[in-house]
Amino acid sequence: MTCETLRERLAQDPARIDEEFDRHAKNCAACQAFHNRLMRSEALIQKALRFDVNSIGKATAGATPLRAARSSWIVLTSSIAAGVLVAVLFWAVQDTDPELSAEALAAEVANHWYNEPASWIESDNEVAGALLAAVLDGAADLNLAQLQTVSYAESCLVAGEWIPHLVIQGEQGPYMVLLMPGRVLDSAVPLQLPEEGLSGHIVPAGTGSIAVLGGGLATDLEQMEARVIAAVDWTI
Amino acid sequence: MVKLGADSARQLAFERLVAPWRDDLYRYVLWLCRNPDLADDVVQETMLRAFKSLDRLEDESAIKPWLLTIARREHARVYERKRLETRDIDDLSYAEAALIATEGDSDIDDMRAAIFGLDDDYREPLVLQVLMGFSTDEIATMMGLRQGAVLTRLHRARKKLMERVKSELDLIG
Repeated sequence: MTCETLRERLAQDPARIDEEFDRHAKNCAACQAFHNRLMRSEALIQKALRFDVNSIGKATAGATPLRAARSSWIVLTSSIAAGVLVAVLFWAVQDTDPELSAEALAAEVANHWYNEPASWIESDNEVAGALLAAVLDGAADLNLAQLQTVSYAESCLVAGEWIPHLVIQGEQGPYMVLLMPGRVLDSAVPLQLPEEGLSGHIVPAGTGSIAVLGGGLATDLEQMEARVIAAVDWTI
Repeated sequence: MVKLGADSARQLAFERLVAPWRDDLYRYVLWLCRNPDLADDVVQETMLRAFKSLDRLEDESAIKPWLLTIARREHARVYERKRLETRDIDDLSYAEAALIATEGDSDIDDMRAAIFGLDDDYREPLVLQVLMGFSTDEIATMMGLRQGAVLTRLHRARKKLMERVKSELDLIG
């Protein structure tokens, strides 16, 4: 594979790093540098796209009055939709427990693994620092000295919250790690995906909780859980 | 035991399945149309249509592409109605004023300006991949393109962005 082809593939999907890239990059400092630069760019793209929705209303208040030109039926349907949303919110506040049950949370975590199995691979490739920082931003600080290679980092929607999804390499293989700030648990919740040969826990960690899921031995899993808990410092 | 009526059950399903996607739908539509007011209309319409037709969603795991399909269709409809009112240059600066500088980070602001500067054909697949997490296969289906075309657009979009924010990337590095 030529440098040009490899860079084109990386730019099509920077999260897709395979063995071919690993082999090439080990002997090609230029492509490694391109990859690092691409990851810095990707971190900026992620932050730029994921703007604070609430800030738009404030920023546009008093700006071009296009709203005045709305046709009446749009106003009508918008009002109906707003009514529906208000009703839903009212219902949610009145009749539901805002905290997801531990079992439901475990199901969401397991379901997320099925959404992104491709990220769960053995790799020596360290995720770019800028991308990791972007993913952790607003959620947690991570003491990398406590961990082995963090090979994947992405912000993911799990149980209605955008949270950091990491893949951390353990002694016996990779682990999916989800950091869930603000999700307080009384005790550890088991995660079982026996058909995939995976197991893990959602473990309480101060003012949040952490899901760790992998295919290693129980001792390796426990070690990984302890390491991640020690390495995480919630920032919200 | 309280038995839920059809409307309550639908509200329950709406809150569980659709409501969590509202902010991301708004982001997606705003990047698509570059106009906060238009984005607001499209998202309201999308939520309303999703609420009405939620019973027809057979596979809950397909909620994201289902919502995106509705939003794309609504965007096309609303845009068609509003096209004569829209002034491209004014709208671009209006949207830029609304979006850029919401963060107070000049690197992010510059990247936003660069994303605004991309052609629609390049911007949409990038937003679908990075913001919404769709695979290139799914993006191809949604946009009615071959996967190869999507890959080319993604590659070119990132290449253009890296060129436009070159100095920021040098500094971060």
